[in-house]
Amino acid sequence: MPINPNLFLGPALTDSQSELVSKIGSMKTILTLPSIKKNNIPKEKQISSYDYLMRLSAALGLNPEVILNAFFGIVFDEATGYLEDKVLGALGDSFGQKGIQLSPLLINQNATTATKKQWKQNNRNYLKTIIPTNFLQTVKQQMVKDFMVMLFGGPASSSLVSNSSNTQAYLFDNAVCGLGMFTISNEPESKDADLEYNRVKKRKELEKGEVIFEISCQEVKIKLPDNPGFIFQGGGPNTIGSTLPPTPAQSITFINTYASNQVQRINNEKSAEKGGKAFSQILVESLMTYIATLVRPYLTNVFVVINAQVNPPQSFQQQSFVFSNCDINNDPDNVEKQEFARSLMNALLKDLLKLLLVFLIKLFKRFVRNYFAKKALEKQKRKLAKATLKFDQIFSKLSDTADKVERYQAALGVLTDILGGIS
Amino acid sequence: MPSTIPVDPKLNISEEIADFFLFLLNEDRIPVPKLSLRKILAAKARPGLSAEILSASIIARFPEVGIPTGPLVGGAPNVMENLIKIISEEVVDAIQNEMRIDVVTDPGATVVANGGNAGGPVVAVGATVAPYTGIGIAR
Repeated sequence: MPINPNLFLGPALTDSQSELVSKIGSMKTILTLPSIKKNNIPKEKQISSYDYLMRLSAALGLNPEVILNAFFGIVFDEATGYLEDKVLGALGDSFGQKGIQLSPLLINQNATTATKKQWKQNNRNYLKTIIPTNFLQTVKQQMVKDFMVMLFGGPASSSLVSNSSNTQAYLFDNAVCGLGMFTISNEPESKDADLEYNRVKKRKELEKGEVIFEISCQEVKIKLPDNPGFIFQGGGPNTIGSTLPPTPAQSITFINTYASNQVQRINNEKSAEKGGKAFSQILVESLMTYIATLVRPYLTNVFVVINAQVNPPQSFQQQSFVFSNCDINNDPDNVEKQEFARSLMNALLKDLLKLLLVFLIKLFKRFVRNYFAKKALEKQKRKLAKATLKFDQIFSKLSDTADKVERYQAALGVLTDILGGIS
Repeated sequence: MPSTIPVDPKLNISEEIADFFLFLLNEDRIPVPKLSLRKILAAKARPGLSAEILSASIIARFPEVGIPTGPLVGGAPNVMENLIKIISEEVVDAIQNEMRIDVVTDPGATVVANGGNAGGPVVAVGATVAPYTGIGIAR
């Protein structure tokens, strides 16, 4: 409805009266704005590096699954000794933390932190000279099977382990104890009681074989296929066009695809791409927590070699240097018990962050380059459009001293076709 | 509660990651090219700021972000256009009437002076030894 211009709305203000009132109003508004605060968040309260890189990856429109699959490929590569190198490093640290230098043999439980640090490094170097760099090569596929047992549990998983009931119980126990063991992601604060409840719940889920995962912000119950063997031996839906059996990393990729399909089947197609964690992220986070448990059964021969090679020969027991998740949980303040797992988990995390960083830096540089190139091009186009708008091109043909009539005629020249000759 | 096994503090580098990416962003910026002397001297031929041209340029780009131009459906005035016009007028007015430009010239400008005495004409060549200041008005 149009406003009646004669409507009386109060005494009229002169320009200066109105200006003063407006200025005071805006100054008051500015004063009420929150002042700029520099958030000084302590390191331990900041977002974790892993979570931040995941956010950057999402902001850049990159599906992190590609990088995470590459990470699995590196960790379980049967052709290289990547995992062996990290395991030997962790063993060296475990010996050093107990005040033991392997070569030359020195044992001092009261060694200073600096000495222990030096001995850890010496042990790492020494172990790499006496242990073959591929000592886990033949068991990596089995480690992936064990990993699946820890993740999904259930009666179907017993076919994946050799000494079924004992091994399965060991893996279930450590999967349960692994809750809250090593978190690379910022998890919501939880109390002791919550953790205990979650452990009981997790055990029940593992025994039943219906583990609930929070994938893409939804709770999804995922079961292993009834006969999961084909994931590791090839054939069935896992046929990859080769007579060779799948590599451990390919088996993990298959499991990831299988879980994503389950999510889609249970919900709708869009769900797999929704916010929150993708299953590949859950896989990588679980691997970090379970890795010490996964390598632990395959270190017996390593200790045989160590005991024989150190001078004089010793009888170091594996169970004094490499502890299960449950051992660590039962004695959470014992740093020596944690050392092997701490070193191994952090070494893997470091390399995961490195891989993510390298990939993202490359992508980011390309993105920034394209952005500035596009902006520069747009700027040029706008400049040109403005120049056309202002008839700069026409004026440029004239000397600076051209008078107003000449400029007018030149500008009008573009319309000659319509208006005819200009008199 | 924190995890039983802590993440190595050296790996808590989310702030450093952000700083590095910001550095990359800054590094790849295309620097504004330095104007040549000829272009600076030609600045006097510039038409100067115009609130009308500025607001027209901004309004012309409304469609890029999905804002309609011209009168709205039913003939209602487009208040967004009016707002842009007011902002442009006030900004241009502030630049033209309140902005101050301080200029400083580097020392070392060549100075040539002519003069003479009983012995005949004298030419002196030298250089300024101190920076000199000046003022300017933005138009």
